[in-house]
Amino acid sequence: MMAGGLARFVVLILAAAICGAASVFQPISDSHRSAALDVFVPVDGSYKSLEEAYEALKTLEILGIDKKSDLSSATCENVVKVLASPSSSTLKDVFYALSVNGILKCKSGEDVPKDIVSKLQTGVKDAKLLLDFYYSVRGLVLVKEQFSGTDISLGDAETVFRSIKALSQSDGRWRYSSNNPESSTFAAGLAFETLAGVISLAPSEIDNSLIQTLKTSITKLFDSIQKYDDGTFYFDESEGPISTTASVIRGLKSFAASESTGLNLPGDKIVGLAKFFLGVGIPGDAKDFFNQIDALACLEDNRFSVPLILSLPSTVISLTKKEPLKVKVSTVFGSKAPALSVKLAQALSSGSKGSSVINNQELKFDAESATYFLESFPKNFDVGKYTFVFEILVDESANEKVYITEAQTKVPISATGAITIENAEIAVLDSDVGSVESQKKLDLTKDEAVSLSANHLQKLRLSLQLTTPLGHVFKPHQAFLKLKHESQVEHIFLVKTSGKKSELVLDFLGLVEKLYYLSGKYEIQLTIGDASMENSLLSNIGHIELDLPERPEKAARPPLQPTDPYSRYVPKAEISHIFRVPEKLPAKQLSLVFLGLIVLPFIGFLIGLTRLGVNIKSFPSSVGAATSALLFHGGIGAVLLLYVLFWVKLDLFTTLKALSLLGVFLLFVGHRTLSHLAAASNKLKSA
Amino acid sequence: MALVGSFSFNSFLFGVLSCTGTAFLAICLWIQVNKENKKFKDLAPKRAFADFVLSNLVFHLVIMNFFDRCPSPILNVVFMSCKNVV
Repeated sequence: MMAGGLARFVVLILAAAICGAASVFQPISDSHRSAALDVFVPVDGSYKSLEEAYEALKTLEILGIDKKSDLSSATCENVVKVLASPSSSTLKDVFYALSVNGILKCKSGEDVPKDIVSKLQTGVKDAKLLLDFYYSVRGLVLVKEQFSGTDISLGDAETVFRSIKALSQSDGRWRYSSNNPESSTFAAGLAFETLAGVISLAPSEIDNSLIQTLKTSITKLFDSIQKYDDGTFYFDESEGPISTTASVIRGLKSFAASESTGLNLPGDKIVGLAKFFLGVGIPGDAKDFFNQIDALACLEDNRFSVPLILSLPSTVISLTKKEPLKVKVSTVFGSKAPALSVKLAQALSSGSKGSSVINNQELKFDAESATYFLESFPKNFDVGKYTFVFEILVDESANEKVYITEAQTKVPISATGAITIENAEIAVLDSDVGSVESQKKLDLTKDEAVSLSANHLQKLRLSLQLTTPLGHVFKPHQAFLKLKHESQVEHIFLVKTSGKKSELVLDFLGLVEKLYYLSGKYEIQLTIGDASMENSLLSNIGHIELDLPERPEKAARPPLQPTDPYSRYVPKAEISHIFRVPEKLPAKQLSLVFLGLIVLPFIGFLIGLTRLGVNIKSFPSSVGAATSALLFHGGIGAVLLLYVLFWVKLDLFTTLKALSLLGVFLLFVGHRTLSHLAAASNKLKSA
Repeated sequence: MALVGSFSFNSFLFGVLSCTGTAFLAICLWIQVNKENKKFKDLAPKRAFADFVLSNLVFHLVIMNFFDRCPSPILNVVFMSCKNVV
């Protein structure tokens, strides 16, 4: 067996940090299990095809959901039917029937189905396409697993290996057939599984050089892997990233399980592939769901490296509740990880760039809940947004498998706490002097009934101090003051934070127009809120009587307030567009009369021409000159036709382009014609 | 104008101008070709004709540009007929 693999307990922490966005990946949980029951729903107790049945049953088996009793009868019927008469079924059907049989165990035991074996062996011998090799070789592997007492082997395993290997390409991809030059990464996955099957069925060891070339091919394939910013890796093809990546992972698992020397794959990419599938969430499509779960199952249990995922049940820390920070490290299916230690390397605050609040803090392990936790935070840990950087160290011990994790896992954390509000006061000031006319202290924890009055020459000032639990100045995300008139007209003002306090000064002299010159009682409401603030507030402070001057005629009126506050969201009134009124056309008969009047002189002109007689005596008789003359007249006719087209549909630029070409032509032929005529008349004169 | 209104005044105007301009060019050709005119006796009639053809082509290009594109084929034959081809 694989002596090297069993003895291996290497610590693999990679130097290559996966830089990029911080994000949290959660292992497969019960939400996946309940979603699987909705996605894989059989129609009338059975599935449309054996392939779909296999995908559904395999997924449910991996997730530990027992639906076999519900599905076995109808599906088993199909399986037994195909296995009973394999000659009338395709290789694909036989393969999937055997796959379903492996899960449901419809037909098992010592009797080797000889006709199935002979069909598959003939399939291997006659196969030309990759898929034929795949179904027949994998079918034989399934028969060997399911029926004891069989001795199935491929007599000419090396020839089969070479035939399949011949379909490979230098970039690591595989072709589906030797005729078709199109290659794909999905086919590469199928090829790896098939070759793994050939190796396991071979009666003797396959030539090591062939296996080495296959390993080189795998390395080349990994060069074409694609990456997202959050550190996930995937393979993408026309079949889609989920199907393609799952196919490759299945192939790698089969290959690593079958051959004697270890398969070395880059650890960061394996973790990246695991994160890709976990990041998909819960797919709605049955095929994607199967591919996701199957690929994760291959990653959970394989011979190259098993990825471990760090996840947090909650990314919000409450400083008031003083809860510890909890971290879970598990496999992709949430299974227990081996002994390891988790360290919080850094806690980077989003505000202060680069400086870390916490450095190299080891987390304690709670065996009961299998979580790592940080009991207490340092005294300088304030509210706000942080990025926690975790490092995992797998302890050196006798692990059967090789576990792999990310070098550093970055997680966004939000720390919340109670913000202290002090020195809250509201005052009315005289504009010119700045002296305080009336001032009231506020207690914002309860609704107040402060009563103030001001005129348009005065100012209203609201000031307060917001401090974090550690005494730093706090700048809230939202701080608004709302003034609401008796007629329901509202105005909202922002309270700005600068220096040590938050303050808002409303100068009514400049605001009269904004307030629509409405005098009267205004309700004052203060809103302060932030994601880090546990005691966000919305409090009614009281009211203020404003005395504003009369509205001048041209000033804007206040908008009509709807009685129902949600009516602002109803559809607006339809806009009726006013188009230019088309001009009045004259009567049709009148136009036709004028048409007749205009055409008459033209007819008269033609009659006059015939009376005069058209003089074509000077028309040249020699061939060359006659041709030029004809082309000249034709050219003029073409120009006139162009003008008609210009009027009907062409634009000026097209017309000018065509005219320039015709003009050059006309110039040429016209010159020839007229020079011929000139030469002819000169001859006559001299004669 | 009183009868028809000012519908498509552009086309009417350029129709009239087209007739006037064409007549003017024809008169110019006649002056240049007429043997009795001593002033142009050195000018070859062929040259005068070539000038006539060229100036007509340019003139009618400009006229055609200013005609309104046809909203109705029937009505616009009226304005098309204003243009006499000499």
